[in-house]
Amino acid sequence: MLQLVLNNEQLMKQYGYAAEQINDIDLQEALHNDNAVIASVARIIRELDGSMDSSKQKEVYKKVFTHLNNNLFL
Amino acid sequence: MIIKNISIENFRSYYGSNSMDVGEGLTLIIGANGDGKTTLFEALEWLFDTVDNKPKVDTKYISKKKIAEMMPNESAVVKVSMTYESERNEKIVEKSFKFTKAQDGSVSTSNYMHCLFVQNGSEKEVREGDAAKRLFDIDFSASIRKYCLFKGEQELNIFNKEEAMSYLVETFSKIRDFDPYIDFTGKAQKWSQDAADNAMKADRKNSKEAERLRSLIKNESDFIRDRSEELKNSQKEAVNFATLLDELEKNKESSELLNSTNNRIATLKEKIAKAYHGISENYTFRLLDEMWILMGFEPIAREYGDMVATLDKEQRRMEREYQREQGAKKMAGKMQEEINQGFVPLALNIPDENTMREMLHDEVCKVCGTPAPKGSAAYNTMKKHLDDYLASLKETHNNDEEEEDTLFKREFIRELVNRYTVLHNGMNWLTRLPLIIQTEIEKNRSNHQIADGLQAKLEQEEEQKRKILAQTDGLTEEQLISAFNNISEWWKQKNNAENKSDYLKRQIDEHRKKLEEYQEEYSQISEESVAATYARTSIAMQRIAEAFLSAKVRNKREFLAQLESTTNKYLERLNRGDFRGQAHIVEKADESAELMLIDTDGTRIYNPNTALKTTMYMSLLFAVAELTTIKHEDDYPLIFDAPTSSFTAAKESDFFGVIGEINKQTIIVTKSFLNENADGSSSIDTKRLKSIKGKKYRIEKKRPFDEKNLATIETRIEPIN
Repeated sequence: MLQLVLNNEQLMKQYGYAAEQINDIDLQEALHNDNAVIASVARIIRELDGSMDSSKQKEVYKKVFTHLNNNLFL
Repeated sequence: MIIKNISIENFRSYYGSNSMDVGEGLTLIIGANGDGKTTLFEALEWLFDTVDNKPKVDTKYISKKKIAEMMPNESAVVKVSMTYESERNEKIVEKSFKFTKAQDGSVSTSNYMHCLFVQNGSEKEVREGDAAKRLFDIDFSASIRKYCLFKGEQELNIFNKEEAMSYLVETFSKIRDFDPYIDFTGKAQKWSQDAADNAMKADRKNSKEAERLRSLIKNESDFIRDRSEELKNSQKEAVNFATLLDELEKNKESSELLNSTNNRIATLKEKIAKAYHGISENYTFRLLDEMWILMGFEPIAREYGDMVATLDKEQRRMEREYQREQGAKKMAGKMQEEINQGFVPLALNIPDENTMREMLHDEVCKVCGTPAPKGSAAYNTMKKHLDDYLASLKETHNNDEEEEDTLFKREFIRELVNRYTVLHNGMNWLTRLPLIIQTEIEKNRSNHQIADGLQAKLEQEEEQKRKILAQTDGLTEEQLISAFNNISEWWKQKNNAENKSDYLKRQIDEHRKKLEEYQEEYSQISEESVAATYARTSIAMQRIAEAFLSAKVRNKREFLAQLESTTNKYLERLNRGDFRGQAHIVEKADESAELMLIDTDGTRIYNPNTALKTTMYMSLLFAVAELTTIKHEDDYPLIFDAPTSSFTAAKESDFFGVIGEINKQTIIVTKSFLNENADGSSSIDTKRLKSIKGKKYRIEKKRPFDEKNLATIETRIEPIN
């Protein structure tokens, strides 16, 4: 799922990463990637873990929102 | 999951205990019609719960032979069980119920059990009821079981089942795994947008510009949303028309054939009507109405003519004779007249008229001078002489008048001659009448022959029409004709929908660019401010949400592409040398999919023969099984009941040969490899069977038995060595 989501032209173009960077990336690596979007996608997948629970969703949102605020374009 | 053994006890024709070990590759179960192949399949359906609304317990499941031999109040068990290996554990799933025979011979059932036995070390754990069901579902999930049992060739096309494709994709491609993330990113996008908006509102310095941009962003977003919805509908419409056209293409040949057949039928009917119209066989009426009755009259007419001519000749001869006689008479009359005028008016002894009148007046005979008073004999004699004389004079006068008459006063002969003249004028027609009649009869006969010939052709065309309609997937004649007539309209509508889609896509792209510009502008209103950061985060959230959505779509496409490629791998193996085309899976707008065959030249094969169709569907099933095994990291068996009915013997041997080589547990129940004996029994064709790898069993009714008495039927399972 991680590769399928990250392998998105618009995302790559806008947030400056190439397909080679994410083709073999695993979740753990992606979580610590310098690219805020790669790390955020990995965070969403790991933290949400398929849950539809709204409190869980809010918790994950806060983490991802903060991460993007702090790291996007930095 | 690998099946190790199947046991059946008292289930329908499977009297007593029957068991077979199942190989890891191909297991072939061979039986003739009525020997219990389908019963074996049904026993597994019952065990696997793959048929909706099938009763848990039914007296129909009970062996009639077992019931017949039971004593009153005696009980026995119906049981179907399967030993299998899952995650290196051996388990047994079992369904059973007890049945008891009453005094009156009726049978009651009780103690339905659904159990799952797990070998745990040296101990055997038992799960019952729902617990057993749940555990079995984990080992062999209900969704996979749907793609495991196949009866006949018709059921092989899993895409024919309603929603089968989306079910298949959802089950095996893990597409549903995306749903929580799509739900989340959608919400996150909105929350981040709200946060950015709120931050921007708080930034008083730039609030006006922010408000303007927010409004523009909203307008663009609304526009894109509306156009996207419109695009979706337009694309759907284009796909629908493409599907219709595809259907038409599939049946194009049939539509064209039907249309030309209908035209020929109409022409033939017209010609037949014309031929029948040209037939006039009311000969009885024509005998009199058209005087056909006179057909044999010509010789009679000629004879009549001859006779009339003879009569005419004779008449003329007689006439001439008569004229001659009359001439003579006339001469004699003239002489008499001359005599009357003085020569010999009376006999020599009789005085003339005046003398006689004088003698009567004087009452004296002046010849002899004797008186002859009135009334005397002498007077009367004189009177008589005078009267005779006068009478004689009168007769002479009359004869003079007759001299003017002809011999044949009535002119009958003349009439006959006239009639013959009239008849003679019509003789030409009378002469031609046999030819006219002959021509008419020939014409009728010829028209009959033409009509019969046309009728035979019409029947051929009607038969052709029936065949065309029988090969068109249940489409009616009206639908086919309508498809034929509507093609140009459908093409137009499809092109319109496609053009509209292109236009909408361009519009959406343009507005998306504008939106991105506005968003970028919005995020840069106050560089380095919180509002700007939030705006950038909001955009990133939006892009991430879009990426999750498109990943879901791609995931499905990749799964289908993988399925197609794996299907082709099996298709090539199952059709060694026979077929070099490819299977192609097409995703439709309604999320269904179609499996089709494409020939080497790229054209679609609309009506493949049944054997090719079967190998195509089986290839897909093997592909589904293979991909499922990869995705679930577990294997499951495929069980087929008579999947090769349409195969030739050679094709069947090749087919089973390939299946035997595929590393896949496959159980096939078939009547193949049987030779029919003279006594009605059948025997195994060991020579053909020898080349097939795998376990082989023969199922057969134990002899003797009475086909009409189920209490005598007992199916036995014997391994074939």
